[in-house]
Amino acid sequence: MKKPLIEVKELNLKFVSFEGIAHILDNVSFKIYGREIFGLVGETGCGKSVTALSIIRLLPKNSIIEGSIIFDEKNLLDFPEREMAKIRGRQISMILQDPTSSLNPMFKVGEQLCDAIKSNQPNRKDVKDYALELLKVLGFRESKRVFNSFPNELSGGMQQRIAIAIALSGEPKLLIADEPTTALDVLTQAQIVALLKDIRDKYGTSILLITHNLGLVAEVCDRVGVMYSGQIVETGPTEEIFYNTRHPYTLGLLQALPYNKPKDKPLPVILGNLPNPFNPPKGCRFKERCSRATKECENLKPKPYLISQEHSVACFNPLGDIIC
Amino acid sequence: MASFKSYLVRRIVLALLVLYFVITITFILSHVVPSDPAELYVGPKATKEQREKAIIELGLDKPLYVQYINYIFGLLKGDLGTSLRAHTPVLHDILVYLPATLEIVVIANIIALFIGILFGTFSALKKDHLEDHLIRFISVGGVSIPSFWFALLTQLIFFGILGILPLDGRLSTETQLFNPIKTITGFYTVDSLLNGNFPAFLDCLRHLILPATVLATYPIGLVTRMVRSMMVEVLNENYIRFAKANGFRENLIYYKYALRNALTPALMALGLSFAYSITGAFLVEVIFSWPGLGTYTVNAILENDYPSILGVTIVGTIFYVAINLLLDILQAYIDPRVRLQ
Repeated sequence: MKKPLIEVKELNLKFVSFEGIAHILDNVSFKIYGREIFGLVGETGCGKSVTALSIIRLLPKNSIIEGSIIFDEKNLLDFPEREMAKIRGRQISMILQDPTSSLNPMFKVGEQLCDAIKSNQPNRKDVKDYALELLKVLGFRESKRVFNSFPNELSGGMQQRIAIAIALSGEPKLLIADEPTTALDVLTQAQIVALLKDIRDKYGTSILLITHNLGLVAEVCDRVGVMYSGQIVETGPTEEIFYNTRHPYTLGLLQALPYNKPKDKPLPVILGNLPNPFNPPKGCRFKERCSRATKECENLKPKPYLISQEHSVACFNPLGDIIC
Repeated sequence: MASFKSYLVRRIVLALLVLYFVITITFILSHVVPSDPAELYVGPKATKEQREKAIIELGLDKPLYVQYINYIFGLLKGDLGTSLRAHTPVLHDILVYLPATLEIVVIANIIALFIGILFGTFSALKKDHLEDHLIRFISVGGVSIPSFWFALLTQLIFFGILGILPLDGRLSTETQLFNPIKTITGFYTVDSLLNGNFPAFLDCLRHLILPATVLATYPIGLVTRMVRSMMVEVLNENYIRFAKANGFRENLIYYKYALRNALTPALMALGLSFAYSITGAFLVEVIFSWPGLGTYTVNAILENDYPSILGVTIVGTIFYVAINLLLDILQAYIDPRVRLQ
């Protein structure tokens, strides 16, 4: 049995606010192995980004977190802030959705990259050479010119590549990419995706890819977790999820994809909205939008169970073997 | 960079226009006010002949527009006219009084810059903690305490009760007698050092402490509040979260990446308070018997000594305009987005 690089176990997260307690994550568990790209998919507001922020421990102050995040045989949630600061950048790093606001507008990108290198590899002497080398790895041909540019002189795709360079400056074992291509055009998206794959192949970095783009997942991810309303409803190898779909929500997502569909008919959609996090429904959280819901779903919470060695699903009435 | 040069030229032309209009308006206003400059010039006991001679000497017999043109041409030659009270060239008087004011104003604003940034940053980093509340209390106090009251209070404490600092003036009598300063620049601290007169330098500093502190209270409060609110805003920015997530050292994040973004508005406010204090510090100057430009201005206004009023106005305007220009250039230097527009 392979040992996972990081294991998130029964993560529960609540936000305390004036309106009450919002239940954001409910028993979220998943593993990411070495050299693996793990995709976390789900609609906006289902808790994907918050899961990432939990791992890197940058949640807002009003959050209450329970469970464990085992990284390198230690629980990150037990780490004091001082220790955690040493993990960030050197072991786990993160790129954000909007590259145009990720970089500080006041400083040249080269300076920011060098500061990241100096912070994460304090003993390094050839900081500038290393920075230029990183820029070359990320596909910048004129790395010197880019080094001396301010962020607003570069395109969104270039800014995202700089952000990736900064995230790689400490040679981390895990890179969290929170919707890295959402703000970019299609061609640039493909470029960034290819780059992420390259990085995994070259450095062996595991990647947690957060996205709502199933096409992207099919292209690069080894395994996938499907999230709905703060829960992981189905997880398994990408092929299993796509060709042996079990959860009705996953199926709904797949059916809403525009590929290979007749052009004259409207796309199928999942009706309804996400449940209110301040008052989550009893039983299955997806029941109100699910065509297969039964009495059982009304009151009991479905627990994830394995249907094959790596494929697990949390549903009382999973789909059968032959779908699509 | 070519665009920056043309921007600079445009700004300088605009600044000169502002200066011209201010001079014109002040000239008109000071001549509309009912008074008799010639009588002021010769004094109450003068004879009629003396008075008529003065009218011709001052050019008061000519129509107003001729006086105005003469004044403007005089300005171009560096002649600010003659004071009606003292019969001395106005430029000379201003050059005597200005360094005294600049000395306390510069020191006060340097103090304000450092303390304000320090307090503001610390306060933002400790947001909603005890330290934050304390600093906010102090900064609100700083902007709302009347300066003359605070000046009297400091005199009472440090001169009256503790007796460790001098009451007023720029130098003590002993120093004036035994270690006199040879005036070079008019800044006593600089001059005493240039003279190699160390006891006088220390005496200068002792006299500077109270007025500079009192003048600094307002800008300290101002800068603290500005830096705090900007820092709080900047610390929520995506790029700060990104830097944190990728292991940037804490010092870098707070004191380089966040502070640089939070600094510009504070510098703007400080620049304006600096320009204001050049002529507006008279309450503090009067209480500390400080022979500065504020006192000079008030006396000139009270006696309707219009060449002096005009002279002071011109100097004040030059400071305002120059500081604004300087701040804009500084902002372009700090923030590349401004530079590239």
